[in-house]
Amino acid sequence: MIKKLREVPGYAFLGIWTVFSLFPLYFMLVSATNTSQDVLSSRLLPGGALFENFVKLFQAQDVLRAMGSSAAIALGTTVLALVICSIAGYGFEVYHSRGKDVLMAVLLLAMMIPFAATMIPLFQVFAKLGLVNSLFAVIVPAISTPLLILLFRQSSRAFPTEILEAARVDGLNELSIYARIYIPTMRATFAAAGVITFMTAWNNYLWPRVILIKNEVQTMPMLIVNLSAGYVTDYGVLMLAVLLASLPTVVVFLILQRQFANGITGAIK
Amino acid sequence: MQNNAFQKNVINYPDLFSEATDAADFSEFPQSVVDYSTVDGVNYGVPFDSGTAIGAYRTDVLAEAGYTIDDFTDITWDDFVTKAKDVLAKTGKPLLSGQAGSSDTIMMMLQSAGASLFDADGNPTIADNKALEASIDTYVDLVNAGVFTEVNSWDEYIGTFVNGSVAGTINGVWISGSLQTATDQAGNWAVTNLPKLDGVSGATNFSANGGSSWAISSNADVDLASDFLKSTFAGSTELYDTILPSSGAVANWIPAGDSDVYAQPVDFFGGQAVYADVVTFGASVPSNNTGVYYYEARDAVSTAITKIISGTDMASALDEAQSAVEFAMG
Repeated sequence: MIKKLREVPGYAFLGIWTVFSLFPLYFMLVSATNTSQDVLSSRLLPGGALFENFVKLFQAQDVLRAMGSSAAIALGTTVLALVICSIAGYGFEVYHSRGKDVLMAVLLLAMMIPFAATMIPLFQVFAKLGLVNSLFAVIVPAISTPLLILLFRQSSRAFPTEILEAARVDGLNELSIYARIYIPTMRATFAAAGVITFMTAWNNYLWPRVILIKNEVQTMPMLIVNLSAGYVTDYGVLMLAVLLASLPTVVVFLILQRQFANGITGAIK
Repeated sequence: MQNNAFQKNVINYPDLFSEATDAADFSEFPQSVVDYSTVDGVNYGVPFDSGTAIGAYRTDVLAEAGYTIDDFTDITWDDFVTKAKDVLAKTGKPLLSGQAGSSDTIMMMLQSAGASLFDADGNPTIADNKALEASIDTYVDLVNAGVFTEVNSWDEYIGTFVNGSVAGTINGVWISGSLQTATDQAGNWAVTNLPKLDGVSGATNFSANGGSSWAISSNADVDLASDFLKSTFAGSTELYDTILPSSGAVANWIPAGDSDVYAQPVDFFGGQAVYADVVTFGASVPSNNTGVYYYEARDAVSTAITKIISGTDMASALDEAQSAVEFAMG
């Protein structure tokens, strides 16, 4: 009994914290069903303007197209980043080479360079390649990140070398070891890395804004900004767009939630 | 391109612009607006979207306190503070609101007196600037009297009048779109000019905030672009008549104000022909020197205002702002 009482302050704290965390989500949900004026008056109850907001949003912007662009970018980035960074992380840990720690240090140092410093040269490269307005130009710079390589390398530490040696003895080639043993064992890390990459790619704003000039290839975050760029912002419509833009990341996270938690804490089961 | 940033961009990136000299008859635009896009006497822009400042007030709230919109027309800021305090006492509603730390209101006051943060040679004139001091004094009075509510964000600012907690606003005419979000207040708004500064030479009841102009890029077919602008934004009442109702874009081009669409009464503003009035206001707005470091100067002044409101002495806060801008200019 006493033990349970001791837990009360902890749960109370978590409870309050939960309210703080969930309130913005609740406000977004409710506001998507309210008129602009109701949103500005901070109305906290659901309203009847959801359909009207839908109609206005789809009249003002090509939402499906933006969703398509965002999805193509996020999925393309995630798949490629997982393949490339997992091979890199695996290689860094499993193979032995004198220069690998130096190379890793260089990679980690590269993490310190702010994106603003590389943005202009990056734009020049893609402009010369004729890839302005191409989704490819958004995907490529994001498929190899020091953070993911580090995450995979750290997780690979727990990858049992005995299995590796046994596999080699059994005559499996290196690529097959990676594909048939490493990937299934590292499921949790892949899930965590996948969620992080998908969310970052989906929410990325600055680089797509720079390289995707035409409205036809705009992504969801760009569409949301465009909604508040005219003479008048319709906050109900804006909240609906924010809601729609949040759904995919919520779905991805919910599907991979369990593995995500395991992956971040580095557990292998 | 945003008017306030026009000179900065022309001076910093001269290679990107073409002269717009043949793109309009510039005498058909307010001089103050043409000046934004003029560098060394050469026109680089055709003014489009109007930033002419308006004072918009809730007539029902004013009536409750025994006033009409005429009591707020052609007045001075001292009058305004007195009347606004009275309105606050009788109705509980402040007449103005704005973002804390923003210099928009101060800049509108300053420009209304034909004063700027720079002299004609581009030197900062923040310290010892009588008009700026009068503007800041007025602003501090408004805030301290409770008739100007400071909020933290732009969205909150829009919220103050849309949800009816504040009964007026002073801003560029583009704010009228946001005002009309409050459909339940239709018919209860009216638009007039701004109060003018007391005891400042050159003070007027007219000013501007924002607005934008067309630029012709250097890689364009300049003749074709000039011809296009001349027959549209600098020559077609039909164009302005079409875009006013559909998008709320108010013209700077003075002849546009004579057309029937601009003379239409606007129900939201109690049947007032607001847009024709605003085009007329625009012609009386004094010029403002912007230059390359305009935004740095505005930011420095914003910081100074925040300090002054929290009790710092005005002269030292403005001296500091002046040094900050001089430092930025190198």
